[in-house]
Amino acid sequence: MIDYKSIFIEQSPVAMAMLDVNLCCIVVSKKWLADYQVDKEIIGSCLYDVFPSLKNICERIRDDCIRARINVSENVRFELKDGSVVWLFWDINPWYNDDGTVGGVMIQTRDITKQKEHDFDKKRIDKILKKTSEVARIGVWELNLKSNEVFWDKMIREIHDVPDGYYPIFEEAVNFFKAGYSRQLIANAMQNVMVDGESFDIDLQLVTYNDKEIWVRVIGQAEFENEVCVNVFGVCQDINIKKLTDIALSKANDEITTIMNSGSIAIISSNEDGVIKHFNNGAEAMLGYSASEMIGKQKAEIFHVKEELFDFKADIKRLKDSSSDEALCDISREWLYKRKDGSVFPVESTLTIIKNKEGIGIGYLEKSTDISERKKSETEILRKNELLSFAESLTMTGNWQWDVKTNIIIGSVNLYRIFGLNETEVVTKELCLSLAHKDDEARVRAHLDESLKKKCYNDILHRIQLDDGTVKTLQFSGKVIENEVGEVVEVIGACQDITRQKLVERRIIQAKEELELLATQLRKQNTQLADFAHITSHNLRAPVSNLNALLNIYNITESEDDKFEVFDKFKIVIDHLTSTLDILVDAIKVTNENDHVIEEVLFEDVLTKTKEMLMGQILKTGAVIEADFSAISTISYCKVYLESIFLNLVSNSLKYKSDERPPKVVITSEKEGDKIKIKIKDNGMGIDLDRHGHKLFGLNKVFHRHPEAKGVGLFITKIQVEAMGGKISASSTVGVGTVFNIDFN
Amino acid sequence: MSNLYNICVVDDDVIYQYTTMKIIEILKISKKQQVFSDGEKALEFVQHHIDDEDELPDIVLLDINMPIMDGFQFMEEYVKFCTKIKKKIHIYIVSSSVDPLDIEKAKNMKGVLGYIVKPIKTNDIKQIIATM
Repeated sequence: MIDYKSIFIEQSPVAMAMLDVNLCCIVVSKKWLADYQVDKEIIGSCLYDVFPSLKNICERIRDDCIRARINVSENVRFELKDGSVVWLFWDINPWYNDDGTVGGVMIQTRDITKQKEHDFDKKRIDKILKKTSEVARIGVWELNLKSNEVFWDKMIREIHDVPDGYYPIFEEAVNFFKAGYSRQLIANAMQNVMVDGESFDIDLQLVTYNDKEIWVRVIGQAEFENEVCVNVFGVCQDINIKKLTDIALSKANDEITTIMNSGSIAIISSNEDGVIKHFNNGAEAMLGYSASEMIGKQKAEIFHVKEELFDFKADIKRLKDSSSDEALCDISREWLYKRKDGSVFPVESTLTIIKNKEGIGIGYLEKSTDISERKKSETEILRKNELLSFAESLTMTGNWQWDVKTNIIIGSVNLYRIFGLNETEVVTKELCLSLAHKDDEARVRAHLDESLKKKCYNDILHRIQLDDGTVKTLQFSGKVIENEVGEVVEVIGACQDITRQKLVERRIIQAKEELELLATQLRKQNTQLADFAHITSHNLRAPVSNLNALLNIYNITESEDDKFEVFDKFKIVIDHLTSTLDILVDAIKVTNENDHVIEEVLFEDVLTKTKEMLMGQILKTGAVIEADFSAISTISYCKVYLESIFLNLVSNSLKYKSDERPPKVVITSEKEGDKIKIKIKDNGMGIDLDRHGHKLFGLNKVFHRHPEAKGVGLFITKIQVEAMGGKISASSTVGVGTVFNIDFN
Repeated sequence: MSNLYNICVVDDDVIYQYTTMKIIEILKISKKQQVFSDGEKALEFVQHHIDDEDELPDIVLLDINMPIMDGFQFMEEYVKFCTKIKKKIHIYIVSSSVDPLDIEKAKNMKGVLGYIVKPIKTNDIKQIIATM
């Protein structure tokens, strides 16, 4: 029986030992012996002696044994003879004699070193995983479809900017994704994974709790139970930085590709020996060579013009030599390139040295832009500027720009010339004002202030006085320029020196005035000539023809009495002729007299004299003469003429009085602006001016069968008034009276 | 030259009146001579004797420049009633004016047969008689 027991223990596949109360081995399993690397002869030996190093453990076992305690321990470290360490599972149970007393202990151990090591590994991996997750910002999520609960780990909450303990429901979780593309995509992916078990791995944008837009990578897969999806779980990684970098990189890459293949920029790189290594689309388009005929075959010399090769090589040398000097890494300048067809055009080119890691130049890169158009525009602008300059100089025009903030006025060359300034002088508003003519300065200043205030520059004409005293008349036009916020920043404009025009204008006006005066005089003289022609035709021819007729009769008359009679007639004609000639001579004198004696004459004085001279007629006719010179009492005039005019007109009024009433003459003076007028009104017989108006002022024209009518008075009066630059006119009603109006000038 | 005519001179110039009458007397062509010193008086006479062939003149020598009514004004009035006059009156303008404007105006005037520049000569009278 014992034997069976012993065999059972000895051959048990587990490490087992049966000890007595003194910890002496009764029986041990082979496995035990193997595990603890001990010999078979330990039966009967005390445990203390077998494992002298395990005194403490032995004490504990003994203690357990005495107290009949069951002791199960895990993780008991045990150092073997060879120094290796094993971890044990330890199970100590007391065994009892038939009488119930503790007979000893049964020790059963299991080497759990391997398991222990697995645990360590797992812990380590977990730790590493956790770290990695933290570093890689990967979080774990799970959607339990049974409970519709969503589990988020710490990292996911961090990614979402939500506090610990936050667990969303499914819809909330989905709504964190950016509306539109991302939200749609995650919804579809979740649908697919739940229905078809199709796992997903997608990059999406989500909007965090703090409204931050980030990129995340979401991986998900499903767990099925009985073909029903119960769980979806996965990870979510914050890939924002990576994504942004990706995007930026992709953009940069696109840009570089675009640049490299750009039609307008030629990029050509060459190796150390100058052989072309890269020749982009732009270079092909620009130079007309294909990349295949250039790369590895040609040098930059082929498209540089000969004359510039020396400078070009010098530039490369400079760049190479300054390899260590960071300051000089590229040189930009203009070159002439020669196309395959031989045509030459200008480029702006940047030459960069290509260096290896050690900073040694291993080639160079030429980046060039065709600037023909720019050059053309530049030339055009230059040419236009020159033309403007010519035009300005021809038209005496200058243009200017006044920067209101810096108060600096920049002008064209001709502007400086007009203002008599040196081109190096700094022109300011104050300088310009100081040059304004002192009579115009206040006006110019006000105009400028108003221009700035109203933001509108009206044309202005003013004079300037240069340092040498020259006075110029300038015409200014301009425009006020505002910035986006409506502040005046600049006033630009042009000015023209119109001194000459002004002078010419004045001369023309003067000439015109002179011409007008001359024309008036000529017209007057013409009228007078016509008058005189008329007079000659009628007033002189008539007596002369009478003389001829009389002479003819005298010749054919035979009797002496008849001849005497004719002779008497001769006397009448000759008297008439003489008086006519006298009047004409007087009239011509008046007309041609240039220096009439002008003096201040009182109308009252003249009238008094007139009344004295006509005293006889006044008394005889009982005439009443009234005068009102209150409006204007004096005139600068030739006194003799004025007396003659008054005398003739007043005596006419008395002479041609109405038979029905005593004559009444009213004389009034009037002033209209500078013009002085006299009105002489009577209540005489009147004249039918419709019938006789044209003869009124003619010589020897009479319209009354009046014995005293001679047709001389009004003729002389008109001559006198007109000689002094005035006008005379009449209005009349037969039977009522006549009014003579004289406009003295 | 056998016929004798009523000849009328309308002119304010007394010397002219005298010399013209003398010439007519010397030519012995008139049976009656009349003188008016302005157009109005002449017009009044004609209007007054509109039906009287004996009184109405055959020839009128009309001056232009006269007081009251000049030659042109006379003609303007005359043409208004000339169709009512029993007799054909030959009117000639006689003026000292050599002004072409006056001559043109006179010649174009209705009822005027000619323009004679003063001094009037025997030949002028003879030519007028020749056209009668």
